[in-house]
This record gives sequence, structure tokens and C-alpha cells, in this order.
Amino acid sequence: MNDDEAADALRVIADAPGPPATTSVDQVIRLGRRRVRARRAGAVAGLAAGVVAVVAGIAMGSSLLTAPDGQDTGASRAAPPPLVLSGWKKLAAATEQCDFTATAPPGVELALPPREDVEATLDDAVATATGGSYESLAGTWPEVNKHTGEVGGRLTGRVSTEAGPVVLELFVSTFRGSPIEAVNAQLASVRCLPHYQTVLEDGTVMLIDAPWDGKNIAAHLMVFVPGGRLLLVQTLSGISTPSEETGERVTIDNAADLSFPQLVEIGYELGQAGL
Amino acid sequence: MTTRDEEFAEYFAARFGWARRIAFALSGNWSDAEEIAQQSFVRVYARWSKVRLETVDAYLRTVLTRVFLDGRRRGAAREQSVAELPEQAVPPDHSSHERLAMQAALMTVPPGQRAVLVLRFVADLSVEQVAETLGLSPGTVKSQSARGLATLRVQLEAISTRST
Repeated sequence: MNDDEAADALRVIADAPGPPATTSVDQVIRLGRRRVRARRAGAVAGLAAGVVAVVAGIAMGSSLLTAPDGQDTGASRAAPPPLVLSGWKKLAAATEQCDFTATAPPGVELALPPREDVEATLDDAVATATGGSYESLAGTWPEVNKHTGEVGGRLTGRVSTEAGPVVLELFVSTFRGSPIEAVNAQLASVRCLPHYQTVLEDGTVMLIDAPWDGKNIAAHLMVFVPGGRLLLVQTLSGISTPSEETGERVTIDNAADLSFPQLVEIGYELGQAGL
Repeated sequence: MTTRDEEFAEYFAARFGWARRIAFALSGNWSDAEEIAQQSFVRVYARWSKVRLETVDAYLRTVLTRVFLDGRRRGAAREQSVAELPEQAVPPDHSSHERLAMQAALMTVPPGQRAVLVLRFVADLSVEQVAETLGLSPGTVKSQSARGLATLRVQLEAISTRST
């Protein structure tokens, strides 16, 4: 039997006769509603248990990320004010020159979660952190790393806040080893800026910095979740991209920006969601 | 029933049977298939307001295979590689013998490769669609598919030899 014959033979399974289904739509809807309620309750409980403590430790007044103004999203801008975070361990910069081309080693093999799940979780996280909502404008799902073959996923979208839109990017990836080992490896390769680090009770490590490249990236947060899931959440100074929904080009310059507590809270929620 | 629930009920009526058949191909057991399909639709319902209609089938496929694979991981100790023909629930004929042999052989393929084979050949998806469903690269889907088919071939030949 060759491959084609085996494949043809496999198709007969789809015709297998079986007993009548016992699941009713009413049953599914009832269980689905219970799942929604449990998720909401879990989000509230998780917030009370962890993120409040984390966020409370951050100096609220001095940690706001300054939104770059101007219309040209590719233009060089003045660097934001230095980050000052209390309650987090500050890790000094080791070098002055940033190497944004450094490639991280491939992480463990974890199945990429469904894009819709991640978008819904991100929307929930944004609502919790900012009171606003999240809408994806562009995404690569999955995104395969040409060098390592590693599979990740990238979403870029608009956070609508009362102060105006903020462009947020999420990259879902993986790392190898413990969160602390992965953070150390990360710092060894890109340690050109002061980083702030905190370790949560479950072993999750959050690392935040402002990798100012003079153009696009305003600040980013890395969340290393035990088990190998790595989440990178960053705000961009703007975006110009065809909308996935309408195909029309959408251009957004940040009218506002996220505070560190908001960024941390989004990262925390994503990290706890088990993506 | 709300409009949202009515829309979901329509989708459920149209796709639950398909989901249950795919779950059966994955698990080899109608009871597990019912549970996998039910859990998948519960998850789809929980995200119904967020899922775009044009992507809901892809979402269901992804959720269904994840429910199956997560269940396998949790119950790895209970996983049985069935090399013998399972009990027959329907009167045997030529096609049912063939089908049961195929089902038994498929159960010997590791769950990850089995998911690739079922999506590719039972659900009739393209390599790219399978890659998207499982969060794998197309290259990995091709290699997993080749390995799974190789295992399947060996098992089918073994079953055929035993039955002659």
C-alpha cells in the first residue's frame, strides 16, 4: 500500500456508522454560559491575587510612557524619559549599544493557541487594564521563524481608550529552560538598557524595558510563563497597514499611550490565561 | 433564546455531526467522540461573540484537535494503542471490516501525527489549513503526515497478515 492508497483508505473512516448523538444544543449553551461565567470570575480572582500586588509596587507618577507625537511613524523621535520602577528589581544596562538583530535560541515545542482565543483573551486583558477594547488590524498566525523554524504568532491592533488609540503588538512564542534561565539568556544578548524584573508566585517572570530604537517601539514587556510560553507585549508609536477586515489602509498614530501599570496588567492577564 | 443563541443553534445543527465524526476518527471511540465534540462546541459558544462567521469552522477545527490532544496528554497513562480490531457495533460487511481495520491501525499512530492524518485525509484539509489548525509549520505537517502514514501502512499490513 502506497501513501496515496493509505490516504484513500483513511477517508472511509468518515463514513463510519455510529450511535445517535446525545448532546443537545441546550446542553451546550448551558455549559457554555457556565464557562463564560467561570472565566470572568477567574479573571477577577486572578487580578485580586496577583496583579494588584504587582501593579501597586510600581511608581505610578513617574512611570508613564510618553507617547511620541507627530505624524510620521517612521521618523526618529526623542527618547522617552528614563524608566523608574519601585517594587521591581532594576537590572542595569551592561552595554550602551543595542543589538536589535540578536536571535533568541528556539524555545520548547508548544502548540500555538487558536488566534481567536488569543484575541479574545487580549480583549479581556485590555478591558481589565484600561477599560478600553482591543481590535486586531494585522496578524501573522502562525509566524514561522526563518532561522530557527520556531512557530509563533503575531497580532498588531488598536487599543481604544478614552484618551485615544494606542497601537499594541503581541508576539506569542516560546522559550527553553526555566523563566529565570530564559531571562538571563535574554539579558546576556540584549542588555543595552535598564530592565526591570519581577517574579510572581507561580514562577512567572516579567521583564520590562524601553528598547528605544528611535523609531517605532516605545516600550515592551516580556512575560516568561513556566512551561515555556513567552509573551511579548509592546506598544508601537503608530501603524499603517491594510485592514484584514476591509482591505483598506488604516493609519494610526498613537494619540495616547499605556502606563506601565496598564502594560503590566495586560501582560499579567495574558500570562495567567494559559495560552 | 437570544439572537446570538439562535445563530449558535443553527451552527450547532449544521456542524455537530461533522465534528463528532472527526472526533471519532481521532479517538476511535464514539463515547470519547461525543465528549470531545461537546467540549469543543461549549468552547465555541463561550467565544461566539468574538468569532467571525467566516473563520468559525477553522476555529472549531482548532479547538476540537486541541481538546483531543489535551485529553490525550492528561490521560496518557490510559492511552491504549489498539492493534486488535475493536468490537463491532454494526453487522460486518466488506466495507465495515476495511473501516475497522483502518480505525485500529490509526489508533496505533501517535496522537499528534494522528491529528495531522485525520485533518489532512478525513477532514480533507490542505497542508496549509492543517498547519494553521495545529499551529505548526507546513513543513512539519508534511513530515508528520509522512511518518504517520508510514506507521499506518505497517500496522495495516500486520493486521492483514494476521487476518489471512
